[in-house]
Amino acid sequence: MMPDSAHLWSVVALVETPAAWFLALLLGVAAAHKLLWRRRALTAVSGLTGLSSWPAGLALGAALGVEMLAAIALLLPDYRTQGALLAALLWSLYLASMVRTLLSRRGAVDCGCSFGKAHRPLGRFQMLRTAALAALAFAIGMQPAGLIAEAGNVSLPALLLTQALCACALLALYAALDAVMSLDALRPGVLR
Amino acid sequence: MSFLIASQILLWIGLIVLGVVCIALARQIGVLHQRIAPAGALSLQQPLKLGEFVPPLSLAALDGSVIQVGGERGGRSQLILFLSPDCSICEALLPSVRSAFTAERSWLDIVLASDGETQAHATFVRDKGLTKFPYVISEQLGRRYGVAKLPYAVLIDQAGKLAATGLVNTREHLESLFIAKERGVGSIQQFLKLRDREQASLGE
Repeated sequence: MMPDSAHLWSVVALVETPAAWFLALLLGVAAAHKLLWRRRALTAVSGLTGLSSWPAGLALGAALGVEMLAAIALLLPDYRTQGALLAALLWSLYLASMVRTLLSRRGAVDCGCSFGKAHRPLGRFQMLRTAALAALAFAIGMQPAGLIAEAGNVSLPALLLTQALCACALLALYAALDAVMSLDALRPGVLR
Repeated sequence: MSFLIASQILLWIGLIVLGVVCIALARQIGVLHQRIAPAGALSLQQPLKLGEFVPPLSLAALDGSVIQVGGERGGRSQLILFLSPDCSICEALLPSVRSAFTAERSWLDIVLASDGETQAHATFVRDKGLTKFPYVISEQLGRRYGVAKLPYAVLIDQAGKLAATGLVNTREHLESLFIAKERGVGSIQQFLKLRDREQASLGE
């Protein structure tokens, strides 16, 4: 029988792959979103950084490039640590610019971090979500190398299929939460 | 492939479908929000114009205290709700008024106002549990705001200016006054006009 700590690490290794794939999918979708809705993304970059048109375009291009690079790295087992740390750094930068924008009280700013057309102005939810993503990416980046997932007598293709579906389900739940949180908020006291 | 793995795969697929359904539902609610015109308090013709300073008026409340209606009041806004004991819609609105009293207390004071026999109002206040609200009886107050139909609400902002007014038959109508103040529009008519203009400029 395996010692407890070794068993725990094998479970962590099982969970790490779908979590990394989820982050990769999310970064990929975010990059595609920036490409498809470039004008909204540019407005968001200007709102968050205070940059004018061409420096904002440059910053947007850089963010898009880093997102795609981190997404690809997260999908490749050999580069997962680097990809996760890059993603953690990127989300930490997003979080810092959100905090800075909120502290400077620049009014209702769209952070461009929701997928749909509808969006709420920057607030606590977006900051908590970005912090959670940065923390998850950091946790993946800090995993010791060479963890081996102990999946019993499950075949590798079945395991990979389950992990891929898990990553897709996490993305679907993330998008659902995003859609719900983009709805207009009820006034306090409305449910009393 | 074992039964356990097959069930795992099915569960994940089920979760993906559930997420997609949830997205579709949320988007549908969003579309409905966009399409349905907001329920706002209907603003009527009145002597005071929106944005004008409301001169303060000191009135005696039912409990004997003196209430200042209008004017600047230490940075707090004031909602004057005109109602009557024999108005059934006013009675139906009371739970929303109590809820707003609690939810908006950080910035808002609510004053109930009416006219007529003092005794009838005192009984109304006692029976409906309205003792926490200042309740004034003044015909002059009603005339000042041109109150013709009940229940009618007048919202005065923190600077003592008239922020929003209108007939309030439901919670949505009451809240529309708060939203109107926050957005800087005086009435539902003004809001709809602005929204139409915005949509026209966006080519929607």
